[in-house]
Amino acid sequence: MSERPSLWWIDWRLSPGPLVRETIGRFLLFCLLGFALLTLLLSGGVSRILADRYAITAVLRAEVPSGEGEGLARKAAALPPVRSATYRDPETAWKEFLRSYPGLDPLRGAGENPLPGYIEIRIRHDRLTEEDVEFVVSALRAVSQVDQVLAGEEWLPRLLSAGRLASWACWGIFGAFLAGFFLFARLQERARAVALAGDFAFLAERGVSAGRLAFLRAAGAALSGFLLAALGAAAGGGALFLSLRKFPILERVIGSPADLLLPRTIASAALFSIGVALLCSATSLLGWSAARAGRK
Amino acid sequence: MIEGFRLGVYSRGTTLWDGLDFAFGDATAWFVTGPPSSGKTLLLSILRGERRPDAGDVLVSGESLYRGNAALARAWRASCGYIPEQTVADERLTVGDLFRRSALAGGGGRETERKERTDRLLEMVGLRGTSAWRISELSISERVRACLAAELLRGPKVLFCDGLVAGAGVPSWEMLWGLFRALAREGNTVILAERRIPERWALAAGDPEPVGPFRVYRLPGPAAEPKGEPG
Amino acid sequence: MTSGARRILSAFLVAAVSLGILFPSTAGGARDVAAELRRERGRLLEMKEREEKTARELTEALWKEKRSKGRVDELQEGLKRQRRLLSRIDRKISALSDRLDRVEKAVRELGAAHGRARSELRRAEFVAFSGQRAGAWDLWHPSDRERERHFMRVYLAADAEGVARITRAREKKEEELTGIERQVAVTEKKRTREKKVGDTLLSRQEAERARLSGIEREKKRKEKELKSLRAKIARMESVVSRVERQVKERERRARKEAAGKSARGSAEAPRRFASLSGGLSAPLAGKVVTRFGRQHDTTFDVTIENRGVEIEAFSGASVKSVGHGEVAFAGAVSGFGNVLIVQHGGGLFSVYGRMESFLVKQGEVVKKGAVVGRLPESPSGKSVLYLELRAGGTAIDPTSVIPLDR
Repeated sequence: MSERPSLWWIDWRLSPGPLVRETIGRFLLFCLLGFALLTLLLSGGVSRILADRYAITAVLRAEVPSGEGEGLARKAAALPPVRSATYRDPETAWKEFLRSYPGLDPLRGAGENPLPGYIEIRIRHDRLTEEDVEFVVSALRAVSQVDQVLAGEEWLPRLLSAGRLASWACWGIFGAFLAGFFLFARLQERARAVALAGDFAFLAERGVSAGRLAFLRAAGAALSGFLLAALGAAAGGGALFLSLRKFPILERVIGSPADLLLPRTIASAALFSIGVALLCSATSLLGWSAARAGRK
Repeated sequence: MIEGFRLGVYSRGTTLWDGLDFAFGDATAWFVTGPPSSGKTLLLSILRGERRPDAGDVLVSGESLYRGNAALARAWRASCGYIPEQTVADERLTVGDLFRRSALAGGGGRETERKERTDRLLEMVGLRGTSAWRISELSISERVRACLAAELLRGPKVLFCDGLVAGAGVPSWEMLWGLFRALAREGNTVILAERRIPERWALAAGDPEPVGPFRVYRLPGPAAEPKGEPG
Repeated sequence: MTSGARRILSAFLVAAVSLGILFPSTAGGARDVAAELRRERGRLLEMKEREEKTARELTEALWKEKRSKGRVDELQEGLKRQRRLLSRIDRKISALSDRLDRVEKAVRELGAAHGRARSELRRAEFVAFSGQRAGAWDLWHPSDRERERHFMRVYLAADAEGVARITRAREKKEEELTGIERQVAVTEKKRTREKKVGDTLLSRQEAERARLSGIEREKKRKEKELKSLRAKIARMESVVSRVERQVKERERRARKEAAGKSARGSAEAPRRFASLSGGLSAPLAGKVVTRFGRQHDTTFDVTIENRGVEIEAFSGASVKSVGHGEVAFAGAVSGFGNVLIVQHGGGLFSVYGRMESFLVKQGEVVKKGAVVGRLPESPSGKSVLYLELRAGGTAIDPTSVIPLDR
């Protein structure tokens, strides 16, 4: 009997040209998906955006002096859920107000400033929950210098719900891309299995087990998928890193570039690669079985 | 040694044949003839381990193909060469693809060596320089010869040929006669299934052994003589 | 016709009749001279009484004049006080008006300030509304919008407080204004009342002045009448003394000639008229408007004595003779107009005054009911005939002998 043939990368050996194109396409897709994944991981969906948009305003009493207001701001900044706390004196508040309502400027040219100073408090994006907001608001209300705390009690639950929905939508879109990739890859695999059906039949006639063939093809697809996903995620991460360095404004929405090197980020990218490998092997098997079913 | 014991096949609602006993010795070229629709191709499939007989068993070197280890059967198939009566239908394939596929089934090997052997074998079957030709562009005779050469690339121990002689045409008979004798001389076994045997080959082979609807000829080998009637 | 004029006319008539009695026929009148003299003396006494009475009336007029002047002085004093009061009220009204102007100006200024503040508040509200509407869907800056909304509320509350402050100030000023206006109204009412009082005083003063002037005129008239009476008395006394001389002369002659004739009693005068042949008839159809005898004049608060009656009749009515006689006199007499005197004989005379024209001449004999003249035409359609009957020099009431409507 002749020696047993090696079935590793058999598709590459049987049809190298289309596979190169397919691999390039998949790499680009994984770059995109990796970029999206890391963006979602760092930004936490839209929580950073929400945290950047949301602020608690502690309106001070009119008689509170600036020094006392700044001291209060420092104390507020020390609260665990607080990312930053900035004091604005009445003059600044008045200028900001007039910027928002320029029509009022001529109306009160000679009048005195009726607005008090305030402290703008921003919450950490990973602590932007109703409980943490309530904690900060309670702490602020206990301060006698604070006249009123504006924390969007009316709309914050809706904002957080909308944020959760938006985050789910982002992850849903990401999942939809993965699902799309899965379906498309399955079609690709099926088409390739059909195209190579003659070769596989030839091998089967010569004693090559179909299961072994399918397994080895799936293993090859998983391995190549893992590598491609890992490379794509790395490339996407690099692109994200460069983008964040080049456009620092994105840090407010996505996060710091240094977060890319956090173990949890790397672990997530590895999980993504493994998931992609599993998807690739599954598509290979499904394509194979679909091709055999079609042939029968 | 390939042995068939009490082989029976039921096809199309009737018993095609039953209780056939065969014995094909090693390093010999065997010629099985039979009328059309007598089950010649089916018999080759059964012998190759592709199709389980409805009755009886096939033993290869004393091991049952259908009742023994499946791995053994796969290994038997991997060591066999097979030239079907109907050649490949994929018209995109080239002659070189046939050799590449055969090499893959044979475990690969170095590319340069494969090319050298491909060229030698093509030259041997009278198809020199046709490596890049598409199969669809070849005649029936050329296709058959190309398939034979591709199968020989792997160096199968047993070569099953279905209608090869008739398909290759009279001009190739001499070459085929010499080839089979050479294969037998190298220790390989060749089993040919044809409607009828060329006259000269029949004269050389002597009286056939009637087995069911078939007649089994044992082509004389230069080094080995037929070992007698099977069964 | 005034009572004074009537008296003068009466005196004149007395004189005329006396002359007519005494001089037309010396032979016929010698018998009654003594009686006539007595009568004239009586009449002189009567005139003296009248003089005394007139002197009393003059004294009374003087007293009235003094009293009226005192009243006029009191009224003038009251008017002065009233004018001072009015002047004080005017000064108060002027001060109140000044204050009212100042407060009105303040109210106007506050109203303008209030309008400006309200306008600014409305514009601020519009800006706020526009801003809120524009920012309502700005979901990208929810916290900023919330803070701006809060500050806008603070801003509008401050503006509204400003408007409320001005409103309160304006309301206070308006209350003050209303108070001043009420004060002005009260003062004006008081002024009007005082002015009315002043006007009343003034009118009373004018009336008193008019009365005073009437009294003065009356006084002058009385003085004049007194003077005239004294002159008449003087003339009458000279006449009486002359007649007495004649009477003494005639008595002296009569004693020589004959026995004296007994005089007819004056009490028989009306009967004498009634004994006239054919009786007496009304001179015209009319109504007696002035009666015979002593009558009290309410206008001058004096008592006068009428010697005849006045009969009101249609203008231009014909005047008929009351009885048969001869026209003794036809001419104008001061105070009686055209006067016709008819002598009926036996010392009986009828006198017709205020006539327009005569239809008979002096010396002409007229019958009873003969038309002797006409009354004058008057725009009112009514004219008055003066009718006097005398018997033996004594005036008798015509209504006692002639049927006349009263």
